[in-house]
Amino acid sequence: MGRTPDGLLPGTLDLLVLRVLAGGSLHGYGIAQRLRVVSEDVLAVGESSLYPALQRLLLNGDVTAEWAASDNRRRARYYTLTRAGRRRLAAEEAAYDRMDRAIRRVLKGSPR
Amino acid sequence: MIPDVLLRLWRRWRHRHHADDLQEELRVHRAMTEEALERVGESPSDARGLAQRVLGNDLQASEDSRAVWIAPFFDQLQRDVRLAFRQIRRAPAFSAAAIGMTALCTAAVTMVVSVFNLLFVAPLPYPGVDRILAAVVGSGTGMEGAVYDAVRERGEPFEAVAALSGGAGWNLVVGEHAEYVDGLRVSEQYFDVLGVRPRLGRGFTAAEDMPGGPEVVVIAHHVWQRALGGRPDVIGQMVSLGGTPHEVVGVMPDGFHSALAGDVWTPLRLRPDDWSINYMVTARLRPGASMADATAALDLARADLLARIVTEQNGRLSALRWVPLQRALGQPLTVPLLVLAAAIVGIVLVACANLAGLQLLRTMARRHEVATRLAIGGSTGRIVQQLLAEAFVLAAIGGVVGIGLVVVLLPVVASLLPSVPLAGRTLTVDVTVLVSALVATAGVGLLFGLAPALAARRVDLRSALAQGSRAGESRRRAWGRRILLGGELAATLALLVLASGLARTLVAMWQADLGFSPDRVVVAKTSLQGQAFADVSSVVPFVDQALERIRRVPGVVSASVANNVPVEPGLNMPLEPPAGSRVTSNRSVDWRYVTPDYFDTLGIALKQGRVFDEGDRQGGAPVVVINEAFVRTYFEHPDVIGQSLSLVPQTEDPARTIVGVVASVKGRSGAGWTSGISALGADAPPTIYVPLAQVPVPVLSIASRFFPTTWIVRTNSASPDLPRMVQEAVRSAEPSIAFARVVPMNDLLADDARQHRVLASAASVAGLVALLIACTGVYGLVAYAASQRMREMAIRLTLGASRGAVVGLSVREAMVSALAGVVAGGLLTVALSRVARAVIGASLLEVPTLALAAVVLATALGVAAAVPAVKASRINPARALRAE
Repeated sequence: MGRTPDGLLPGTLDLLVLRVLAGGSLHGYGIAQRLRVVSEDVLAVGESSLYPALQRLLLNGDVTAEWAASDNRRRARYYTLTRAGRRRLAAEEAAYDRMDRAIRRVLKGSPR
Repeated sequence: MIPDVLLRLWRRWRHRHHADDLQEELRVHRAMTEEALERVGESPSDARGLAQRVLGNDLQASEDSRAVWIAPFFDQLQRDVRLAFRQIRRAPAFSAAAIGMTALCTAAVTMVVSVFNLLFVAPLPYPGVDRILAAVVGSGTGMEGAVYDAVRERGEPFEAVAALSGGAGWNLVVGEHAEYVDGLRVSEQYFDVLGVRPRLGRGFTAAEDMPGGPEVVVIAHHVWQRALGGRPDVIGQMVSLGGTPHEVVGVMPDGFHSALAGDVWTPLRLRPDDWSINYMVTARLRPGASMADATAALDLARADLLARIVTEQNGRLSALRWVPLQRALGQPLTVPLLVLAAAIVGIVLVACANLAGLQLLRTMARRHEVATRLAIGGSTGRIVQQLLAEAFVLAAIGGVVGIGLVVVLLPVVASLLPSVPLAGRTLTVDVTVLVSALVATAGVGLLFGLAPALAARRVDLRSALAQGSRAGESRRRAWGRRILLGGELAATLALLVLASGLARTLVAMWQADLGFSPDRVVVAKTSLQGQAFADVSSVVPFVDQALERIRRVPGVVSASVANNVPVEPGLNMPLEPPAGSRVTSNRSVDWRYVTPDYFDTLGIALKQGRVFDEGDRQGGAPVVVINEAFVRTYFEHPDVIGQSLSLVPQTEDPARTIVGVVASVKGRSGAGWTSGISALGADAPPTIYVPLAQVPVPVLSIASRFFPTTWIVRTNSASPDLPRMVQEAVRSAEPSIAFARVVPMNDLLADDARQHRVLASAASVAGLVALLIACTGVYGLVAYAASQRMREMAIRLTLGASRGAVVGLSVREAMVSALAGVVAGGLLTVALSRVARAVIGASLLEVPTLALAAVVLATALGVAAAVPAVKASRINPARALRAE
């Protein structure tokens, strides 16, 4: 499986995008910015992974997209979380937590 | 799952512009990145380079993003279709059956739709055809001539009103050129009603349409080309019709067909008091006038008419109404077509039910495969999608084969259609055909693909997820199956009984005593219409001379002349009830003029008195011969010789003495005594025969206008030269005579029976196909049910039930379905045979046939139920239990 080009664990990009969108509608650039800022420059997500992820979420019905004017009078495509997306976010967060705790427990445990 | 698949499809559709959106989005993203870099102090050109480096390959980004939309769907579709082809090859028998049934259904549905479309939907080739109306009584367009006058008097809502009458052909002679043409006699405004102007010249004037008006004719484009060489100065030329010079006043445009066929049109010249039912009355509604206006006008006209009816039959005018011309022309075909369509729909439904049953069976056989795929994470949606793909691939192949069938069969069907309602149009492969074929194919595919796909989903989920649950059918499904089975039986039963009934009436028809002997009789038709033959004093010498010459032809036994031959209708003539008659009012009967040898030539048996002889000449005592049907209908006692008969006074026919009674001859009545599509299936109508030599002038001209004069020749050889020699014999007596056709009498009979035969063979094929389909289907369904209940049977056997009891259970259940099917089928048969009786004029319902068919089908069903049950009960219960 290995790591994605952006240094993320596979499958986590969708979760992160959903999480960011839970705070309100955003366009693609905004999502990338938010991820970078919140992660303190650790997560720099490129176009080539962000946009396929957004298309996937659209196809699954987790988000909807709409063109609207952005703050600097530019038209941008805003993504909004749907109810299904919210449910999925909750489920994935829980799954990630479980995985995270498990990994931590393994890492903290004695190496025998 | 289906809803999920649809949802995803819908989202795909909603985002169908995803590629454009994406490009724009990526551009915006880049611009925003550049702006941000400029804000922190980079120069615009540096910002662009930096942004490029930060963001990476945007081509890759758009490719990857687009792939999200495209790949899974098309990839899966492709895979499904490929897999479907593999499955189809793996089960060739099933696939062949499915493709065959789909092809059959597609072809049948397409054919019915095209015929209906042509007759009732595709407009007749006249401008504003929806405003052209025709007067009808019931489904008949035959009208009293008086209707025309009455409608014209109340004709405010109409732009034009016309009456027309088909009938006898003409002898058209132009210089050396002589040919037989079909004539249509039309009133002055006929071409206005159709809305078609002559290409050259004009239509008729009011003066030309008056009795005694000048002799004028409008000719068809092809007559102009063929007989007159397409000369541009044709208007004003004289042509000879029936020996009378007619002035050509108009030439109709190429491709024009009148709504009753004709090659030449002459003025109708209707007398104001014509009460014979020989006319069609049509009208064109004024723009702005409504159907209600037309009906109101007709109500007034009808009241006028009913105040002065001549015979009891004219009372039928109380049912007079308007219908669109197109419907009026197609009406006689409606019921036979509906019967055929119903049979076809029945077959299609039975076929679909069976395909669904067979598919179910196959699905069950593939349960392990499906369960395995589910277990390793295949979604049920994918499996359903794949089953559907399989059904559609099969249906598509069947559809293509079906369209091939249509292309091959369409000309055959087209040739079976009567020409009257078509007005020159033909049945062709067109958009309607292709669309209906497509719809039929998709419908069949969906019908036999969807049900098993859904059923498979339910069964497989349960068997995969809920181990050890009771593996029987759900109650709902069991009912579905029973209804399927019962419906199938009912439809098959009805089709079988009706088909056998039709076949039986056909056979009976051939064996029926026709009342005459058609073998080795040759019939030739000529026109004696026109001035040259207006009077019997000129007709009789010519006819006698020609008959004499015919008799000298080697191989000829006897010859005679009549208006029409048996099977074809006689002239309807209103008769006053004779003294002591059972019929107490004026009624029309079939009237035929004959020469003395007529009865001998056709082998019609004399029952009482005498037939005509050379002594029954013009000026002699007026005599008449009647048939047995007439005696039965009119008289209490069979002793009728010497009684007197008179037509209504308007005909100027003298009172006649009955001199003989002959055997009844089967035939279509010209006076409404028979119904149904075939003369041979009907009872003989009351008929009166009059010697040709004693026919008064007005009656002869009526007879010649409506009927060709027919030469009837009995021969004792089958020489192929005979028709030519008969023609030459007649021509040598009168060179201007042209013959319509010379045919063996038996061919005329076959023509008459044709529609009946088409219906009978269609129904027989339908019945057999339905039986075949029903057998496979019944077996499939019952076997499926048995395999579903394998576990239940195993449990019963383990608990000590006897094999017999287990098999009995299965058979008993099948019998319940069988009983329901038989009862429903019986009711359906009775209902359909009522309809068929109206069409064919003979009962198709035979209780013994119905009973036999029911017993046979029920037995087949019982055996079909028992065999799989016995097989099931033989297997080791432990294995059956484990197999779940």
